Amino acid sequence: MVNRVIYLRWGERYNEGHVARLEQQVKDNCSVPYEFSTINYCYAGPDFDLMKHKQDTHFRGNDVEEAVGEQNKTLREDLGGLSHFQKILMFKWDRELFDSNDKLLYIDLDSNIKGDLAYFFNLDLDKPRIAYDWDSFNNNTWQKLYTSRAQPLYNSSVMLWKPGQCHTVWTNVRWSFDAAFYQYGMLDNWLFHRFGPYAYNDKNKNYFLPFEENIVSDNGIISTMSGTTIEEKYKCLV
Amino acid sequence: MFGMKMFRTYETAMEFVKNTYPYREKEVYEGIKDGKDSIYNCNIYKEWCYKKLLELDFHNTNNFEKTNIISAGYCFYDGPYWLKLGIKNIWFYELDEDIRKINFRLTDYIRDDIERKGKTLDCSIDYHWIEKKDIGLHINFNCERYYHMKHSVLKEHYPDDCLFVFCGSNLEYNGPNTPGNGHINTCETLDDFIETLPNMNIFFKDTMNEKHMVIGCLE
Repeated sequence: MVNRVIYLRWGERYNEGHVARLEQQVKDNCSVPYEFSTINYCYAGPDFDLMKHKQDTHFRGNDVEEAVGEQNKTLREDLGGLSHFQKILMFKWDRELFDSNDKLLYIDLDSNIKGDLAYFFNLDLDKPRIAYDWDSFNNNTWQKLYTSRAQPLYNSSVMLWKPGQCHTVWTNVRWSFDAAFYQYGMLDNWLFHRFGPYAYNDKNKNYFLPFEENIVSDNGIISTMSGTTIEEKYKCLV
Repeated sequence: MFGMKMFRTYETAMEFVKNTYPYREKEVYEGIKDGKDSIYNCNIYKEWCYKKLLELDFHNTNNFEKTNIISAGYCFYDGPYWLKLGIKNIWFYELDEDIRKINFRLTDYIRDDIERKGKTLDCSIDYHWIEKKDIGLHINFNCERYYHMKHSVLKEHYPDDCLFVFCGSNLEYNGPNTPGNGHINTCETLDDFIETLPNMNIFFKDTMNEKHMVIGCLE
């Protein structure tokens, strides 16, 4: 069994320096043995090419990687493109690349690690886990915006799972590529609708367990830049 | 008699909303008060649809006993129209489970006349789970919230005589909590909207304000 910290880097926004920055943070903040690696199939190969093609076909804005704000006088969430779809490919390839008992902790490159990552590797993994928007949960804003696909409780900046455990996420998007890429601007919104509390398929309802409140937060073990502009992210990455 | 039933339904439904979905109370109240809720804002368009179906007299030539309604918004006022249309079994489909469950309460006054069932799903992605057998009327009030209907409403899935109503719009985003929020598939013109629909033998098509409506059978 290996504890693995997984990162992904695609496009032009992040460079090797950002990978080194995350790697150093992991090194400084993990008291249990681990391996730091990526999954190349998430940004190359026929599955990636097909998904990229769907993204290019259905995205209706001008910057697919920008996660917030408006483009063409339309909310980013309403422009389609399933931004950050690359993460789904981790769930397709993990079984082939890793041992079934490994624990995989995915962390966004623009995250800040402030506490011991051993916390995550010591969690039981009967179900996969994901960072949660606890503010939205506590003040019910997620329900009000549910139909507009704009306020997911899920935050895929930090996820923990075992190889094969999330394969259904891949199959779910695989048979509905066009609708998924057309309807959803962000991966997190899609993931929340397909695997959150209102998912149609009972097996998929609440598929991910949330990390406890304050674990992934501004003052938690990991703070993420989810929901911020790319400029805000760059400022914090210096 | 019917008015009294509706009044009691309103009281119990609002109590249910207040206790179970307190964050929805204002929105449901506004939807009942003036037919404008912040999510769908569609009562006047639903009325347009029902009146047009009655005017075209399809309920006397087609069998609407089993009907699908997608994204109906809050349905407090819909019951009398459903009865006039001869609906006996209705399936609600909503992305949002809260709205679907609130609708069961808001339509309690017709429970002796119409069997109500529902599914929380995305009609565009989960279209395989939408009821097809013996469906006589299939209505989607908010196509602007979904991928083109031509990809999920397929002729081979439905009875030949099933009548379809598709409503879409060019109502675009105009700030947070406005009805255009979440409109991912707006269509400037009625013809643009028809392009997104399956091939149809169209009996009626028109635009009211920013809302398009097409009624027809699949070709």
